[in-house]
Amino acid sequence: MSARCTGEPLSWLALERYHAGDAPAELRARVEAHVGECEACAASLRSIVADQRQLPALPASRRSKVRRLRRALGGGVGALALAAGVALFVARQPAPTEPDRVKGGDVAFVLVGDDATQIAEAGGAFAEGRRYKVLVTCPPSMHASWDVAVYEGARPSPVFPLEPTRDLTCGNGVALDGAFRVHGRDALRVCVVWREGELVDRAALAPDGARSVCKTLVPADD
Amino acid sequence: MEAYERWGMALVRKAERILQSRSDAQDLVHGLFVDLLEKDEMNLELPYLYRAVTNRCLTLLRDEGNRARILAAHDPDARGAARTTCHDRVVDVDLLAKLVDRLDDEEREILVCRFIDDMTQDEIAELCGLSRKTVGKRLDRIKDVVASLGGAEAPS
Repeated sequence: MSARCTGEPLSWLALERYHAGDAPAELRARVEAHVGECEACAASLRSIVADQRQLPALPASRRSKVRRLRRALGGGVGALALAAGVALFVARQPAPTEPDRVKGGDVAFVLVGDDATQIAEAGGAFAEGRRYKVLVTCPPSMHASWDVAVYEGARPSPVFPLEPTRDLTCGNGVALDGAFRVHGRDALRVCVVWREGELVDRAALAPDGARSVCKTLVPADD
Repeated sequence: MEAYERWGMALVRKAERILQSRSDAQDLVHGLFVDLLEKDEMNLELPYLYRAVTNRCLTLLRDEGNRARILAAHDPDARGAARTTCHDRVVDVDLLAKLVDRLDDEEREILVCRFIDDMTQDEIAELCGLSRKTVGKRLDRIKDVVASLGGAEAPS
């Protein structure tokens, strides 16, 4: 879809500021003069005006979530930040076989939903369509890269819903980068995988020295 | 959050033009504001947020997995009207995906500013804190890269 402008097009930023009443007088005058003679830019402005969609609400009380987590974890919690949901893509390797918690390894994780609910134990219930953040607890002296592998139902291959996190400053309940949304009615096995000194090799999870801690989750009852 | 209410949809529309995916655009903007909320950054102006959205979109597209998914499912209508072209080529998500690994960070941002956000060189210079001359040089390089990909060669 391409439309010819009569001169230099008005930028979308200028049109948005004009639409929002944020344009200074000079810009306002320039927009009005231009759209009066340029159908392409006038149409662009009309498309902004006609867009009546509503955004989803932000979390109502960000700080209360953090307080709740602090209580649950019994200590300080790192940054709790939900980032954009990201794509899931598939690799082929077996599921890690470590137990739900690494004994003596001092690494654990919880999933925190965008409604502040959290899943701390294996067998916990996830909500269809909800977005989850991963909070890792690891020794402050630990320097590793981190990744999350999700095994869906009986599928042997995991998906990796997050960008790998490098240079995590370990502590109590430290957030990995990004967040992911869960869908479907199958049980999920969510594994936090780490590798000290190097990036986690997704193509060879088990043999490359990466370690993991996993939880099997079930869909919540409707 | 006032900035979310005021600018959220403008930013979703911008992200849609880049990603051509309504759901990804909405998720990206929502995630941005949740992060800003966490950092207690409340006094936010649209130009700053525009840059933040550009950078998040480009980060998303630089990941091969995300790129493949977005290219497979993108909605051409979400690009909106293209009023600025590069060598008569509309810079859509297909072309952007081909360019993201061939350009550096600054060039990628300028590419989006010029050919998706339809900014003038002066606007780009002001937004990115660069001289107009630098913007012009970067645009020349971007046009060279686009030309090297083939397609129509008439300068815009």
